[in-house]
Amino acid sequence: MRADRAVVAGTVVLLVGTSVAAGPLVGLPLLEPEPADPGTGSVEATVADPPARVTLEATDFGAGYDLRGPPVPVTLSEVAGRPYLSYTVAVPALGHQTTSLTVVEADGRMRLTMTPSTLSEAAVDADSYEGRVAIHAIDDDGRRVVAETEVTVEVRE
Amino acid sequence: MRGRGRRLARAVVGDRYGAIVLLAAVATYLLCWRVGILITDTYTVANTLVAVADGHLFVDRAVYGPGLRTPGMGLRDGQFYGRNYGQVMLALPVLAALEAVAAVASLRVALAALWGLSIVGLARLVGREVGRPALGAYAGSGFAIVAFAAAVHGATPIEPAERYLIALQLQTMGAAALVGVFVYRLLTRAYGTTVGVAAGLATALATPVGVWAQFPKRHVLVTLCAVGTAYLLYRSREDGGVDTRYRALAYVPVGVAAWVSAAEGAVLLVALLVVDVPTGGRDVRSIAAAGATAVVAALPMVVTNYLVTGNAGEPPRTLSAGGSGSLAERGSTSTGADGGEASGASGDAGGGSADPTAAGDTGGSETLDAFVGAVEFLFELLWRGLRTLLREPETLFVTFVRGGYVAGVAERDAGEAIRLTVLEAMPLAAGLVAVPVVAARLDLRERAAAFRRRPWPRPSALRTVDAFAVVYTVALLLVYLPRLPVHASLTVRYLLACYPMAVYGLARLPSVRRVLRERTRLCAATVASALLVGGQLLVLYQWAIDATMGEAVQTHALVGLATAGLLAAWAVADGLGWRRDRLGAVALGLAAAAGAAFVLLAGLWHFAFVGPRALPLW
Repeated sequence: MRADRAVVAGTVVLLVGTSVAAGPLVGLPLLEPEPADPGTGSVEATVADPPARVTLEATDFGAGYDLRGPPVPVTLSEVAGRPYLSYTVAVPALGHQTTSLTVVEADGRMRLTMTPSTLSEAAVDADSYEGRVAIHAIDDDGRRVVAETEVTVEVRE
Repeated sequence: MRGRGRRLARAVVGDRYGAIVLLAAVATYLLCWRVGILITDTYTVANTLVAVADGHLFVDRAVYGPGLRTPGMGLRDGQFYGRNYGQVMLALPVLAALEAVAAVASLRVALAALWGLSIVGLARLVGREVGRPALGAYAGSGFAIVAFAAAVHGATPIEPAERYLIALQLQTMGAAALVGVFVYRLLTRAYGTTVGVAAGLATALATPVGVWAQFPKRHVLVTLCAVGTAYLLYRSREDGGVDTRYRALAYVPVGVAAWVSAAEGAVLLVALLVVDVPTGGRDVRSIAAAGATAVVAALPMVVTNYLVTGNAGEPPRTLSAGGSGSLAERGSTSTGADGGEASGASGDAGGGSADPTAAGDTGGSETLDAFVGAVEFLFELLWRGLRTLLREPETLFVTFVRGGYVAGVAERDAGEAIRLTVLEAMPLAAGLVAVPVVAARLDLRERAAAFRRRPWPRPSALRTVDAFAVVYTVALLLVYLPRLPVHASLTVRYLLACYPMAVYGLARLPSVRRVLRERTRLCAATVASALLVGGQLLVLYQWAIDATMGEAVQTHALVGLATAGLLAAWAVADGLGWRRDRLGAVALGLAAAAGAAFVLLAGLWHFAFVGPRALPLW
């Protein structure tokens, strides 16, 4: 048997063998345990300094406007399981609302970010809008408000 | 046993190069694979697989999605019925294999092993072909073990409930890889290995076939049927005569396509009949064999129709009265853009919804009426398409050339401009603008003289396939044009089968073949360096501007259009006699790389919302 053939055969045996070893018959604990469902557990969160403004920024390529909120500093304590924090920005005058979910796993301070959301170009015609930012915690106790504030939505061309 | 397996492999992939195309495609698809649902009507198909695996056609468990009332689900006599039963039935062997593997091994680790094995196999085959078998074996093994370890490290087990979806996704990925294989086999027979391999790889990895490989919709399967028909049609005319066996076999994929989606099967049948009947000769045995095969191939569809709708001529789709899916839920909502529910008007091509007046008749004539109604409906669709083409030619522009932010479409795509046109998604197609130039420069007078000669000589195998490709593409376009541009389509998915046909068209251009043969290395080097350098620059740029999904996709669109422009300019110039083969190799390479970059980044990055990656490397 040539050496290169032996190497290939060995690789095949290794891959298949590992699959079987990690399987129900042998049960080698190779994989991480299945994490808890997101949104379960518990968390205490406080927001000292909620944002005052978010922006609607004209995007490149004429793809409309991006609604972006700044990262929000959040202090977490008593984190257990995999609770969520949600970051919601709503612009009622445009009938638009976006929510970004972040799973938190450890105590301490973090910066909660949101995923920008795109609005149609035609909808945006004013220089600024009234908006609302809400931070929710979602865990075993359900969904509760951590911070909620009125913001100015600034339109930037 | 070993001999039989080898024969089966040979029947599917043809030869070693076919295996290279298959493994390259599979390895890439597995890397980009996300276990999840992109479009809401996939919930319906996945739950239908759950039902069929339970042993019945009606759907009673919603393992996926918010419940049983998902787009495309039909209701009859108080019971829910799914759609795409052909796709579901053909996924059963995959599901059985998955269950078997899961009984003895960890499914997640086994998927990582499958990926590693595809890498080893690919490296070995390539090493052997380039004369460095030992290097291929060592490098492939080393890379596969590292990749396998990375994929397994930190991974979590796969929930048993995910197996149905995984079976469907593996099935579509296999089908997409086979699309590349059959393009390779067809073009290798016609033009030799270099052109064949390049075309096969380009189809699987640089066109939207690669993007849709992991999304279990009907499109990839129907595309495989269309390409399979083209291949078998070619084989049937290869030796100047008509080979009855292959001619009859060409009708088998039509039946399979109809089982997956009746309307798509009907379009394919029309295209095949239009080309096969006038050119196939009048030998009664040959015609009888083809007709009998067509009938047998249609049987699974007819039986399924009868069991689901109670009428052999009415496909399951008629129960749900349309209802195409939209993108699966994301965080954002806008008024007037509620996902999920689709109006009848935007539904998938109904596929033979018979004239309602036929309902009063009884028994067999009801079935007949349904078939007649289906034929009428198909012509009605084609006619509607023609009308749209004449009245709203601008639809062609936003479908084929530049889309950007189309308000009515983006509104239903979660507000994002995540839609590419045919050219943006497959810049290689730009080379086809040279077809009229090349055709016009052929000696027209001689052609005309040949045309007047009677009886007409039998068209060559390639001309037969040309005719089939053109008729099929036009028919598909006419059927879907009135509904384009449409949301949740990303890369004009309704026209997915046109992309391999475009690759075929490119390979028919003498200039493209010349460049591929004489500048093979430059072409391959361009693809590699453009992907490695340009692809990374693209990633850096999109990361730097913190691109939203729409912006990211539109960056790809503009890059695609730029490379398409270069390719079109070269192709036309070459057609006019201005020879610059090195430029041609670079243009082809760049266009292919732009298409491949979207295939890779779409799965790895842009469409992350679909779900977690099957192989969580990082």
